Amino acid sequence: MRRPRSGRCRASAFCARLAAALAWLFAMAPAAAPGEPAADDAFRQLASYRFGQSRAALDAVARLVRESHADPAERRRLEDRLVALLGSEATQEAKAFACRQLAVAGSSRSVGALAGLLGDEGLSSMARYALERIPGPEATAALRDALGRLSGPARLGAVNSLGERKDPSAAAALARLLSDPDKAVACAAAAALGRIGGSEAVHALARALKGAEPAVRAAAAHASLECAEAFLARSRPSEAAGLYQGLWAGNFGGLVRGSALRGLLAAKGREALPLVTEALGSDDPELRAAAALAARETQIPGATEVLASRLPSLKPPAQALLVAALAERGDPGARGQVLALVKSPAPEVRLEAIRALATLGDASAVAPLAELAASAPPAERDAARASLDRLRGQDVDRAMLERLAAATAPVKAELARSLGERRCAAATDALLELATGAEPAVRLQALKALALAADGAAAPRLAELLVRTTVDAERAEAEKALVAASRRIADPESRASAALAALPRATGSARESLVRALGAIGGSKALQAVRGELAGSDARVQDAAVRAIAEWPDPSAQGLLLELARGAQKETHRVIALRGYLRAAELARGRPGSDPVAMYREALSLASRAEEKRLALAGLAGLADLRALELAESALADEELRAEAAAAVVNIAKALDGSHRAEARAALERLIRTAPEPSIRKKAEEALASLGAKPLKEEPQ
Amino acid sequence: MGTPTPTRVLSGCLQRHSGPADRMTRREFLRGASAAFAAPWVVASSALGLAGRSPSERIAMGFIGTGAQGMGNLKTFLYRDDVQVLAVCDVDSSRREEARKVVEEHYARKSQGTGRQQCASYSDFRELVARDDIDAVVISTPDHWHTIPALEAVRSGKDVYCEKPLTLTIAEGRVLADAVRRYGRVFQTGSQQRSSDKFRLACELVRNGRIGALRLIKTGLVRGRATGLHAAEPVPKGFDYEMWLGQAPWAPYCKERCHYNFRFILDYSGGQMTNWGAHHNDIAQWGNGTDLSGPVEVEGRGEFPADGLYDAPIDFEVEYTYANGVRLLCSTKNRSGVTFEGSEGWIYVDRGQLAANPPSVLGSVIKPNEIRLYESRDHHRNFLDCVRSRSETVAPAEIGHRSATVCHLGNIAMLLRRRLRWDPGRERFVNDPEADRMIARAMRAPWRL
Repeated sequence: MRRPRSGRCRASAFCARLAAALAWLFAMAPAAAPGEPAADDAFRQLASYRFGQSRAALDAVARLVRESHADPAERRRLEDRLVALLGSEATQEAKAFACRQLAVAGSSRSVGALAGLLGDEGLSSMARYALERIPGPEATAALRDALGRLSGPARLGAVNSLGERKDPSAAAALARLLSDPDKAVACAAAAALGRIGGSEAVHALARALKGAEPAVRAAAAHASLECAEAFLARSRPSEAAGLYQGLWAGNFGGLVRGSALRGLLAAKGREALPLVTEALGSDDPELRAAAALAARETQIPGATEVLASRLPSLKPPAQALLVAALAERGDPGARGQVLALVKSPAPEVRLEAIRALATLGDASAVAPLAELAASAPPAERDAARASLDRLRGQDVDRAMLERLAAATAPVKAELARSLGERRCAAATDALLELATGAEPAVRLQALKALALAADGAAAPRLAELLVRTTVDAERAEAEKALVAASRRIADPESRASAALAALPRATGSARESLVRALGAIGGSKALQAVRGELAGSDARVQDAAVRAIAEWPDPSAQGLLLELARGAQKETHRVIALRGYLRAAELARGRPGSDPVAMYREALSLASRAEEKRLALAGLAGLADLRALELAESALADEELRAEAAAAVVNIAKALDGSHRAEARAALERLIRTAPEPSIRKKAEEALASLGAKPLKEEPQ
Repeated sequence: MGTPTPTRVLSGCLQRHSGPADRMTRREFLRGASAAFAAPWVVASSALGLAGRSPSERIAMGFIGTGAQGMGNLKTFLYRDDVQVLAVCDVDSSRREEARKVVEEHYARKSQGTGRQQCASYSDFRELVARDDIDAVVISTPDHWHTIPALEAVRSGKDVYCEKPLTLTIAEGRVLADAVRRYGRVFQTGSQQRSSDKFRLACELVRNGRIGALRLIKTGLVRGRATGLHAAEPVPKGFDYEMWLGQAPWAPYCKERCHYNFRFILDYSGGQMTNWGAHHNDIAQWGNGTDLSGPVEVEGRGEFPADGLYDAPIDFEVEYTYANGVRLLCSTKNRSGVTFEGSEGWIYVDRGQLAANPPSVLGSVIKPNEIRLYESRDHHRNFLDCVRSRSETVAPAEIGHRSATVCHLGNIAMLLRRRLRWDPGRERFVNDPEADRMIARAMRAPWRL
């Protein structure tokens, strides 16, 4: 559409003509929706619509058209009105809008008027906007017949639209354009014939493939590939194969030949498999890649074995490609050959083979992968670990367990690691045994694996290990494993049983570790036991107990924390307890019977340092509660806390927008009046402006 | 060692085997008056095979669209050692030149002053795609400019990373996905949530029955916007507005139409339904195991701007039904992100959060013999790795097309305001020729699929 003429309805005579031309359109219209002009008014206003003006009339007409969906008579009346508008003195924008409506609602009744606009520089593309989608032979005929009289973009557009309509009756006309002197038109005609397909299109394209100039010949090749695909989709493989064969054997580049090769395999099946295996050894990387893709896609029975048997004779780059393709194919028929390639001299082949075993491997891959995980360079080691962890099959875990007995220490460690990653609960006994074995690295890895795999039944033995070990790193891993296994026990009150049972036997670092573990496991019995440790004589255990209570996994330690925050002997413990209490307030949020605002108030009254007061204000900032607002406002007077208090007031006020807007507004206004800092006032002003209306912002994608 | 020149990069890694018939040089492409109307896909440079190239060789890349998202993509690829950026393209000269500067300064720094790495800049993407020394392109243009350059690149033998939503119409997606398959190209849709552990884990947990039988999925999208009426303005200097409009019906320039705002106008985009739906509905499809298919019914209500330039819905609520009985409720009123509801619990996932009820679901581990979904932890890295291995990416064209289709179906249902039945196999509405007409749109010449 060209730019609209700049003038408006300049003369009354023009307006009178316009009104007369459209007068008959404005009859028998349904009632308008609220806020919309009535139908007659809508059509009248539409006729003079210009860009930048209100769309109300357009929306009204669009609604009428949409709502006439189930009323053929009304739909016809509206179509006639739109067609009349096309032939009237209405603005170009109005006619373009009519074309949009006819694209969805038009019929053969509209075709004549739309065809008349195909040569109009400003409306040609909008006429096609409708014609391209109006069903029936009339629209095809209109576009086809216009080819001879159109030129430039309008002609090119008509060619494109004929392609999109996929109507074979246009094939002959388009075929003639393959030799058009305008190269763009000839290429467009080839593309359109590709969309249409069928015998007539194929024959025309075949002529272009032989005799056309390079650009058109290239377009014809692409179009022929599309035609061949359509034959395949319509279960006409021999016609598809003929096309593919011509392109495969022709003087084309790797892109077209590669596509033809894959098409040949789809059309001819096993008969074309030798071509694929041959192309895998091609010097043309595009053909090699296409052959590998064909290997991935083909459904021919037994293809995997045929393709995999080609592996040993290929050069490394092609081997790597084919191995990746076979892996994606996922057929275990390639397992043997791929397994052999993990020892290839070419690093890229080894890497692909190791990766491929993740999907192709079974129990037989355990030993080589474990060896590689233990001794290969980093990239291959990481790939071997990933594949070992992903091996599928019921007997893989058993194979790993059996392998443990005879393995070297590094391989044992790798097997233990993988059994953990595989969450193999059946490996618990074996891992516990390794955790008490002779090799330190294996012991450590086994404990790490137990944290991932051991179930609750292993907790007593893990607690025992924790108590007995003298190596700090192993104790730390045993602690993690004990916590993880205990948490897997279904009954919350039974979870701490193993740790509690071991506690009387533990001293020093082991007791410290068990106290930490009890804190992480949680539960009322554990809390009671940890509380008991506060009175012990070992300062390190006492310290661990305070920290465990401060990190308690639920708010149940809040009472004890408050006691400690008020009365612990050491200041460090009072601070840790107060911070733990603030954390408990956060955890208490939303829990039935909890009152986090009261907890924050208590914390503010207890805190002697600005750091904890700031934490309390930060916690308050997330609460939609008038008491929180009041508390935050009261902290504004403290210069040291003003920034955090102001931020809290702003956030709480925003959160209260839906429930207590007046109070929120008043608090913000007070802040604006009283805050000395311009930055705080600005934030408050922005918040005040946003109350009742969410501000717009650019969202990331 | 200094930064290799493009020539060296190419001589080290690429062999060109284009035959005369499917190859056209850039000079030939640009020659003559007909270039203005050149068919997009007659240009067939062949970025021939990375197949078998060694890991030390670089992937030569070109960037089409260098606005905010495009610059983000450019910088993400630029700083990777196995990438060489050869060219940038944008219809806005200021953005284009800024991108060129970023690339050249990076290579100048990298070569420690021993040489300046040139980066070509174009206003017409066809010139960039016509270069036969570029292996892969990244497309970060407005939505109505995704499919056409992607098709041209694919038909020229290039691999493609294309921003989401992949398409403007359902028809575009079908043609693009078919072409990607036909030419064996590596294609990544820019729906990067697929490369997030959180989203993948959520989908794996759902697919493995951790919340029982999946019944309902809720996706929460960002609201759209309205704006006022805007008069035509002079086109800013250096902005090729006719090219920016591309396939879309002609309309006069105004600032509110272009750049970030295009997404609120249905001629260029599907609104927030496609902008955010291409992320969250994509995850819904993944979790439901229908990412190569789609729903069978759709019904929706949208609140469209009462007037003004923008015409994409502001608020909307669309309900989809899948053949497996699962319903998808996509709404601007839902909690942002994706919520899967099953017979035994729910899982909620968004970029910052993964939550479940019962919470123990999140501690559950996917074992080797269970359903494991494609694992990618870096969307851009995944694309580069696949360019080398010729493997399928985590978000290939077919999936990008299917996810975009879910969103397009929602828009069509909102525009027609009635329940529609959809055949995801044929990709046609069931007994509804009027709705079928909204699957495609005619393009302004010379553009075509």
